Amino acid sequence: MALVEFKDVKKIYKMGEVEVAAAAGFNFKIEEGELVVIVGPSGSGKTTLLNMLGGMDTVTSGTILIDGTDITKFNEAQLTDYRRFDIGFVFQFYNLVQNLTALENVELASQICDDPMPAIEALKNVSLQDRKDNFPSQLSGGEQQRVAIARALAKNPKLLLCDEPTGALDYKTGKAILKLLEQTCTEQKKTVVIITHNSAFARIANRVIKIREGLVVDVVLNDNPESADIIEW
Amino acid sequence: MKNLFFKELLKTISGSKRRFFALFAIVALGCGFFAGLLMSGIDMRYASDEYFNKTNLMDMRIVSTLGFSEDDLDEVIKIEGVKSASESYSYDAMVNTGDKTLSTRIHSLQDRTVLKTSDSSSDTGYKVETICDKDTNPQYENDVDSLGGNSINQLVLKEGNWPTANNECLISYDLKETTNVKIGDKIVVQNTTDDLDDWLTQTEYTVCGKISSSFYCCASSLGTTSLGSGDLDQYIYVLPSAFVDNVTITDLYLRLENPKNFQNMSKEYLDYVAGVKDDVSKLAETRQKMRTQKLKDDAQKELDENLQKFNDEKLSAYSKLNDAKSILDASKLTLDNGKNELEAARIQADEQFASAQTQIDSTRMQTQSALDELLKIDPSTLPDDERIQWYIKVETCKQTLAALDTKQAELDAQKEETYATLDEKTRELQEGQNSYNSGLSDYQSGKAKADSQFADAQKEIDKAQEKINEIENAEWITLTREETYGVKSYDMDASRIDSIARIFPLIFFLVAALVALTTMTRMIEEQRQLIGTFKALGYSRRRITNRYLIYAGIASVLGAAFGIAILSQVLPFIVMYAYAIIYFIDIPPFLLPIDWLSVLLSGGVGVAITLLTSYLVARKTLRTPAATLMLPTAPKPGKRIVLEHIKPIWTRLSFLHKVTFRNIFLDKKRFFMTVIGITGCTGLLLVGLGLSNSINDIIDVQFTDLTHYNTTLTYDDDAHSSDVSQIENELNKNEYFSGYTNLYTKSMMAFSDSNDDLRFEIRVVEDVDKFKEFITLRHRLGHETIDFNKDSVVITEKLATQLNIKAKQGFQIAELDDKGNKTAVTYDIEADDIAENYVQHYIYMGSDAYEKITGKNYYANTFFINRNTQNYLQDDMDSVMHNVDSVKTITYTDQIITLYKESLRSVNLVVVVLVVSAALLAFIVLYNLININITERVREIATLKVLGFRKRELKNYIFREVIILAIIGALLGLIFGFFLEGFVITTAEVDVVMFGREIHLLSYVISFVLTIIFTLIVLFFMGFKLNKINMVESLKSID
Repeated sequence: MALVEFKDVKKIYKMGEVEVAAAAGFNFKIEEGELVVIVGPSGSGKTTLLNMLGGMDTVTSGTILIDGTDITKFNEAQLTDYRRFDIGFVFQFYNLVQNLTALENVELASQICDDPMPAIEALKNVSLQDRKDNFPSQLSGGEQQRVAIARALAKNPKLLLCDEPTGALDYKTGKAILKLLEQTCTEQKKTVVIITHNSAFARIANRVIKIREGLVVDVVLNDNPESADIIEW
Repeated sequence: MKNLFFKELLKTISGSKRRFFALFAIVALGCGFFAGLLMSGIDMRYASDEYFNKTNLMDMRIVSTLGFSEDDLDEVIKIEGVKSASESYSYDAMVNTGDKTLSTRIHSLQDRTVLKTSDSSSDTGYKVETICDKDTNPQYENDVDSLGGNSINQLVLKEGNWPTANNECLISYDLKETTNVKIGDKIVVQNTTDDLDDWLTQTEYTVCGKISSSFYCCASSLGTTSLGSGDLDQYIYVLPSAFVDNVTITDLYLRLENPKNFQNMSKEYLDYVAGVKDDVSKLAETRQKMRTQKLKDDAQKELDENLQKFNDEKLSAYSKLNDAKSILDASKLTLDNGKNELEAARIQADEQFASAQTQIDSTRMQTQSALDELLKIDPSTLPDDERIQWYIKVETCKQTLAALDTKQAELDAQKEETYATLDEKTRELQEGQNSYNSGLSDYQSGKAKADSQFADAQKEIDKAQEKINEIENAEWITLTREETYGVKSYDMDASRIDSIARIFPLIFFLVAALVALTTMTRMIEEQRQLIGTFKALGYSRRRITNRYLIYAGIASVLGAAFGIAILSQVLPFIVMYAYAIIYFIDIPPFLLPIDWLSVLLSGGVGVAITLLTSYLVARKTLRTPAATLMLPTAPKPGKRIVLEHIKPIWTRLSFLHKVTFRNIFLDKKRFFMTVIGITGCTGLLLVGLGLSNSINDIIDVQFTDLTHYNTTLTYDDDAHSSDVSQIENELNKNEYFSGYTNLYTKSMMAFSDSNDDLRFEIRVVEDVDKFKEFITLRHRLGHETIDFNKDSVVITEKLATQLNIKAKQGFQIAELDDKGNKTAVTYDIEADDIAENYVQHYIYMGSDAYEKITGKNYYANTFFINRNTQNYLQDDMDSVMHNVDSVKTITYTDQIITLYKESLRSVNLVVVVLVVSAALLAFIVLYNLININITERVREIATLKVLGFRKRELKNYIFREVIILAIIGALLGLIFGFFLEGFVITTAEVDVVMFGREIHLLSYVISFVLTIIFTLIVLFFMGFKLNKINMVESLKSID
């Protein structure tokens, strides 16, 4: 059974008389342990997809099965629990709590889980154990994103969802972050979903889902993904 | 373009309703409170001025130690500045109103009122007309409109009718004492005063109406009297004709022109009145002499008439006596003569009868012997011729003897008759003697009686003469309106509100400034990019600044207008309503007058604070170059706080707590806004509760800890000892009374360099040990018992404070006259110690100390009693004790306690006002803080939501710092409230009452808990806002 299965998922906004479909009927599957890249241009509905997948947004119709459970039927509290236990998020702008040190930011996530990874271990995984007592303002963008990844991993989530994780970073740092996500998938056997407008990332993915205008236009399975080190954009 | 600028501004306002509202609300609260408190004092003064003018309250009252003559009124009206004047009578008596006996001042309605109007045709420039006269033009109604509004001390008839008959009276509508007296009830003047008949024509009156009198506008004190406890309990009004004819005029009331309408009790008014008072004093000098002379002349004339009558009577009495005497003397002479004559007649008769008897006897003897000689011869032996001779001779003898027998019988008869006549005469004489004797004794007793009677009368006449010689010079005492009970204290209460107005709003303004600071800072921060854009577009710095100033200006001006409009009506009303328990001064109808100066001042301060703060914030941001402004502000760097270095604490905190602490100390502005706001909130609550404690303490401490009796009985100073023992016999009934002690009490006046004329009660104690069972004399601090013995003088705390003296410092006390005015009899004293006391002023003296100080002898006139309240009710006590003639008053502590509890109503209102404003303050501050916190941390909150924080966890995380700030503020507020309450208490205290100084522990707890509850309420509502935050929207991009 697939870890994730979207069945005709629609998200329609009503702007007065006009209906705008951010998702016009997504259909795809994600298997456990895959590194998935969802790629599409601006306005294609990829963030909507991620929000629905992450339990941050509701669907208008369709079903999203996670491990066979339809999360579209969840109420708010169940969605919160779903986010809490099953999902790890990494954002474009890191969204670290400024008033917490790196370690504390990780703890923020780990302390609410049943089976968290020790915070310091999560930081080791992203090689930031030496900066654990620094505040976000004392860290570079890449370091902050690594803290964000550590925070997401510390929860031991089923799914790691990354929204343009390199969007605010320079090329080199972005590449390092991508590498880190790749390692997370391969070494820690996590299912990682990366959302990006950058199709170059497709080369590191096991599964590439291409979307445009609220629809999945192509799903490419890649049995031999390349390493993040060698891709260029 | 300008339009667009404004359009954008309007959008800004509508787009940030919460922010706008916070600014609006705090300015409304601050300005409204300030204006409301400022205007409370002003409105109180306005209310009293209105009421006193409406009722034409006298500006001056003149009383005289010898009363007034009819023409005094006509002279007084001539004084420049006097507009109208009236004369009336008053008499103090104990009056039974059914359920209680009250010391009462019985006033006559106006006897005569004169009005001065300007008249250019007159030499003096004015004319005086008599607008009311009991004899020619009586005015029974003394209502507001009567006499064209010119009658003085007009009464406001609240129920019933004006009196039309001599046996009708008006009683107070306002006084608690007479609330139960209904129209139609009878009240009875008790015959406890000797001169009652000299004043009143009747002792029973039917209540025909209830009135309010501006002359008696203070519930706590109507005045003093020589009766009862020394305090007047009530007043009634009767017709002038209910007083006896030609009764002494006791009061003159004057109303002044006051051409510039100086406000009641203003400095100008007082100066103006003082000026007229000088003129009255000048007039008084001649008038009081004339009054004295007139009284002396009248009395002398009457005495002279009496003396004449006395002399005439004496003369006629003695002449009658003399006549009687001469008649007696004459009859005595006649008697004596008669006696002599009778004596002589008797002697004569004796002699006559004796000689006649002698003659008869001698003749008889001669004849018998001759016969005997003849019979010795035998006739037969005799010659015939001789014998014939013999026979003839014998016969002759025999015949002579027979004749003698006849003569004897005749003599005897004559004798008997004569002596009977003489005896008759003797008897007649004796009778005459007897009647003479009784006449003489009658005369003697009559004379003795007359002698003593006339001697007595002479003595009385001498005494009366002496009295006339001793008549003291009349003295006019001019009492201004200021000295009327309630008038000055009401004005002083208004001043107290003024001083509170100077302190209280400070908190609100300080918080307003902080709210403005945080709000505008946040607003400008949020709009950095916009500002940058404007700047880049070429808008001048001033223009952009104006944008924020206009925003803040609109919010604060609207807030100020709203707050002032509401609170400048509500607060003065509440304050006046609270004071209405003590003062019977009408609250003016809505709308209360608006004092524009106060509006400008409070509104100005509020708006200025907001604008200045906004300007300072805007200026700082605008100095930044446009390019920098276009970039988002770097998030505030996380910072370690001092607490982190205290490892033992820090390491024990969960890291969520750690972040809370960091957040708290990260933004100083918000920290101070919140802490000061909450401090103010808790402080206000504590002030309110503390006030309530203080007043309650008066009752609890005064009547539980300090005094230990439930009944006070006073009796006449000159009470007969049998009356006193009658009382004591009753009190000795153990089943009804558990104890009593006696002492001497009297109202007196104390004064020192720093304060004049403080009335107090002196309590002189002989049985010091017994006394201690009824009164505890102790220090307020430490409750240490004061050593009180027969030589001690102890003064109560508030009196000492007001006299500004300490123990062992000298001051003076003065005796009072019958009307409660200060006399010239004063004593220098010093107190040995100062005792805790909350209600009234007392000086406690041992009897030895009293005798030494005053030179008077100690005697008792008061009992402190512990009555068994279960089986011996007040009614029982009243009915038994009032049968004893000498009993003056019986006071029950319960009643006093009830009275004080009534006045709690005003305090409760103040407490409500304080609690409400505290709550508002807390709400605005917390609302603003949380609002800013949430909008600023919306990304953080969204992140946490995404991380899967549950609602409760999220609230805990975000609101924990609010709660901690609230706790810090509340703790500081307890300290602040402690000091603020001290200030308010000392400001709000009235003369004869000292409020408790302690705030109860419970009040601290309640203030603290309430603050936290307010906080939780705000948090509850802000929780919804937290829930509404949309993760997706909030995380979309950087603002």
